[in-house]
Amino acid sequence: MRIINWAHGAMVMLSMYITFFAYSMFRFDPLISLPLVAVIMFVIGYLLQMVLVERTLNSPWISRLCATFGLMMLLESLALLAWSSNWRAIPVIYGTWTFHIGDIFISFSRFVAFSIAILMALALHLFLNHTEIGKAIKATAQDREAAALMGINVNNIYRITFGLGLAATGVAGASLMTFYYVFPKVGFPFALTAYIVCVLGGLGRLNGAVLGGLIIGIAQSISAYLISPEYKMAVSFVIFLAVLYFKPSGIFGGVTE
Amino acid sequence: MILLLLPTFTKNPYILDISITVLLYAFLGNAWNIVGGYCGQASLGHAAYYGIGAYISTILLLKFGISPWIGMMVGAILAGILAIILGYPSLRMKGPYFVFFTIGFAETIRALFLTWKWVEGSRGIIIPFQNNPANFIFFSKIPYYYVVFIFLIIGMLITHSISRSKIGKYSVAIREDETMAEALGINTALYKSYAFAISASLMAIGGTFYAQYVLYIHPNDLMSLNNSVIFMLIAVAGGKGTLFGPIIGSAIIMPLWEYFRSTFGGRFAGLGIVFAGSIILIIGTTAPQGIMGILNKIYKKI
Repeated sequence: MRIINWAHGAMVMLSMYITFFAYSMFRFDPLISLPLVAVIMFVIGYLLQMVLVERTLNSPWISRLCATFGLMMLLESLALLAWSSNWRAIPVIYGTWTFHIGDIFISFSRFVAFSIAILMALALHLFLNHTEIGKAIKATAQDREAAALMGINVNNIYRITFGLGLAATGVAGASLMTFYYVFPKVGFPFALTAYIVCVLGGLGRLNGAVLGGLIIGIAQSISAYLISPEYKMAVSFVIFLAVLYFKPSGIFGGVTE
Repeated sequence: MILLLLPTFTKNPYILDISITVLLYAFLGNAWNIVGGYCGQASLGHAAYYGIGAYISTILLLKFGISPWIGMMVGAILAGILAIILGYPSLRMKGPYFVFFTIGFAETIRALFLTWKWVEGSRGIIIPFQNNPANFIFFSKIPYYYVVFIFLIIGMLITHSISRSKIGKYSVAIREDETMAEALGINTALYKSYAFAISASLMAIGGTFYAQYVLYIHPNDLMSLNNSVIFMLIAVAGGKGTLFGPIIGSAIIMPLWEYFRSTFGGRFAGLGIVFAGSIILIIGTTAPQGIMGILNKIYKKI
């Protein structure tokens, strides 16, 4: 959709806090509150697009960048004011469960999060290619004016897309809460890695995102092991820079980008 | 003119400090504006050049005893060369790809300086204080004020002359329609590289000023992504692609930031950022041309 949502990290943070409070107030396990969080985030995304991002659709994309950055600052510092900077985690029963295949030990909650992510990507792929709304989203992304002429309610499609993006974020946030802790600035490193992964693979391409994720994930783990953990982020950036140097539109990006 | 006389009215170091911050960020926003405003390339990697300028002059001073006045020029030239080397591939990219390439570049440089033992890594470098104008260290804040004021004037003159020259006209043509500019025979990558190099050099000069003013440099203070974003915000809030935009943006954002930080410290420490965030949000959504855009509209009505 060609909108860089700088506030994506803050959205991860928000959905993690929702999961946390669902646990601390109602004793909901993160995996149970996951659909709930996804729905709440969808609504937030829909409203956000309606009141905020929509206004910037016709202005240069730099102002969109600024608007979402302002939103991120706002949300992060509000979270800091409301919930303090303490790190909070949910003690889940299966937090320490592991199983092993051969010599490889796998943490149960990480495995669950991994499976959810794969399922989510598949579901999204099916949704975009095989439903009416999904096709409308793809059409709008390709050409806004033409889509509008074909009778697609473009604004509504934008809202739904934004909502879906945040619903996916909500799923990610909720499954992260099974093995990670939450604090107001938790989201940004995740979001930065996510941006790199997407741009590396080529924006708007699901296979690109999967491949980009694999490359960055493996590179980070190997470099943390072989060189030093502090170079982890730098190594992934160097790979990113090197790829973009030779292919400015990402691995799967088209020529017409 | 009023700005020029400010130190004669007030000796209050707090007000002077805020004024210096405003002028420094106006200078930096102006440097960003050359690439971001006139060329339309939103770089979020400018903090890297800022940091490189600070580090080069400081290392030349501490390890080789070279005055920062000279180190500043060395830093500016090296940052300019680096911008051309890196600029060439990055300027072929468009939109989001370009933004993330510049972020990646700045973050790589920051990680490098954080772990590089020769430049003290994550401990940062403290510049020992000696009151010596030849070494760009002054006892009072007033000389700093005039130095940054002169820097700002020079920076604005450079921007002004660029915008009137061939480079400036070509830059605007590139911003408005890159394909068209290319079709008309403009070597877009070359002119974008020029703009990038000048902008990076100015950034490095700002970095040296910061180092000599604060006398402590650390990769996270100088090269963090937040800094790059602040440069962009100042230019965009004031009005990108305008000469006075960055000054207005800096004059509005920086004092508010400082005021909230000093007034609501402690429990409400985040309030300043809440406020700055809302300003940016409002300007981003309602006034894409920034405050200069609003002023222009009012002016036209009159």
